Amino acid sequence: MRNRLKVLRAERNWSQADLADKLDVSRQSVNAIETGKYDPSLPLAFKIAKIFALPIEKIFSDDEVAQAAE
Amino acid sequence: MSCETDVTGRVMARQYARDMAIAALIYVAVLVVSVFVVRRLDPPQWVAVVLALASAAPALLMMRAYMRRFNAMDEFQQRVQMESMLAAAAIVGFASFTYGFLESFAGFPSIDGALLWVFPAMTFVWGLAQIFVARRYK
Repeated sequence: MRNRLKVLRAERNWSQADLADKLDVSRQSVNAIETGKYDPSLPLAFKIAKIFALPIEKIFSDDEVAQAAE
Repeated sequence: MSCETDVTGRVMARQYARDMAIAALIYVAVLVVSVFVVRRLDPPQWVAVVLALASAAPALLMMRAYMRRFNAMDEFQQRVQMESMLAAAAIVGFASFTYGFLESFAGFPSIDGALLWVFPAMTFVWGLAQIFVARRYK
């Protein structure tokens, strides 16, 4: 799964630690999600969407769908 | 959701270290007494059984301390823990299973008190596995 977490975070000038605090997770978790090494659970994905005030599909996208769109 | 953020993580780590230290102290104290009684006083069987169970009991305190810490972790940290534990169970389980066959079929020496080492070996391999599993997600 791909995500735009890093870009969205940078747009808001948030560090990984800032986002981790808002999500109530560790900084390592934010890093693992950003690098695409770890896919968050649905509740955490919704929490991320809520914090960025965006629909979930504007943040996360399926690999195959993203490749087809490119 | 109760998660282990960087700040609460440090607090939880301190509490975990304290709980583990207390459990380790109790373990050493019980073990010293148990070894002394069993080796020097030649107690009746039921006393030896009670001492054996008492020596193992502090491990339950360690497990409780770990479970408390595990429950405070976020989903990613829990995943790292579970993958590491799975690796440790697979490695130690397979090693002991294999050695059992070598003992039975090929006359390899029987290790005295081998079962006693399964839990510490799993803990050691689990700790080691965490380094490699965590690295995979960086």
